Amino acid sequence: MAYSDKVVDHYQHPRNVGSMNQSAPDVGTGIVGAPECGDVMKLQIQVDDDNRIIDAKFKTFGCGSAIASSSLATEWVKGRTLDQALQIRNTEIVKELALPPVKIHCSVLAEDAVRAAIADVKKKRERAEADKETVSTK
Amino acid sequence: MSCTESTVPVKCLKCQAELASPIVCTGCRTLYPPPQSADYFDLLGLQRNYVIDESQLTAAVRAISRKIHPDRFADQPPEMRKLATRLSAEVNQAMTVLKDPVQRAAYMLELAGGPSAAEVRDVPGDLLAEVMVLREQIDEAQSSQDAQVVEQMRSSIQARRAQALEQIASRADQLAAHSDEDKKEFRRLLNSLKYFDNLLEQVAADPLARASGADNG
Repeated sequence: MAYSDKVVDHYQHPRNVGSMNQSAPDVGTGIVGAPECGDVMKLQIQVDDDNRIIDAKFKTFGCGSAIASSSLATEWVKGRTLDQALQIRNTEIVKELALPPVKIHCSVLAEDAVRAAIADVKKKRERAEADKETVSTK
Repeated sequence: MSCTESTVPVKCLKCQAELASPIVCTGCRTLYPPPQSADYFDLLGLQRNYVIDESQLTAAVRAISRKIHPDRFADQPPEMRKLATRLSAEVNQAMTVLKDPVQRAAYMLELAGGPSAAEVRDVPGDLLAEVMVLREQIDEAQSSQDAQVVEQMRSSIQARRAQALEQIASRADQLAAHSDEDKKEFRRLLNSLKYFDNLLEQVAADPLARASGADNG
């Protein structure tokens, strides 16, 4: 199967590969997998106090399309607010990378990873808020 | 309610001989369309058990295939020839699924009305995060050319896979009686296998592991 030029470009020069400190309060981590192919994807976002994503990293063990999808996703989420990042749809990734039907699940994986990372950082913040309240009511 | 009772006819309508398989009378060669209720086990005249004697399976398939081979119906009316072709394809499919321990387990989950691979896509517990860490560790060990660590990882991953398959094997026979949550967990266990397979592939892709004969196991 021939990959599109954009997939090849992301595959050969993946953007934002790496890891962040998973336990940092301003970092959200999403780890997702596709059981049909066994690919795993980790996508992390760093969020400022205004809920804006200031940095993103990913690590993907999978095919070229999965790597390209997550690479592209990290590019797209940077600079967006959490709510804006939640608007990213896998269909946009499919379109941008010209993914064939058999590789659509790779784009779904990237969307899921973004959502999981956002959910993770939101949960951390809610917990921090709750902790603050319990402290202040003491 | 039991789903393991078979409801397929037991005797040939023509010669009254006992039917070992519901699709063919081995006595008078009469073919029957597969009954709706017949699963792959019924089709091959096997008990619906997860543990399968492979030689018994092969023998059953061979005996039936010989009787229903489309060539044997060359002089018969077209409907019969069509039926023979269709039955042969089904028997082949039954064999493919039942022979493979993973496909067999997935099929038994399907028979028990469990969730499909599309419905439950996650894996047990924190396995995904673990897989991610293992992948990174393999990467490290491979780039630092640490054959010993790679080999240790290979055997521990293989043990984990075997463990998951054991859990699957021990639960497969009672699936129908289990709760929906148990069936979901069964699907999660099935899902986990592909991740272990990929990890093992990654380990085997290491030239060092191959040089030390580590991927022979």
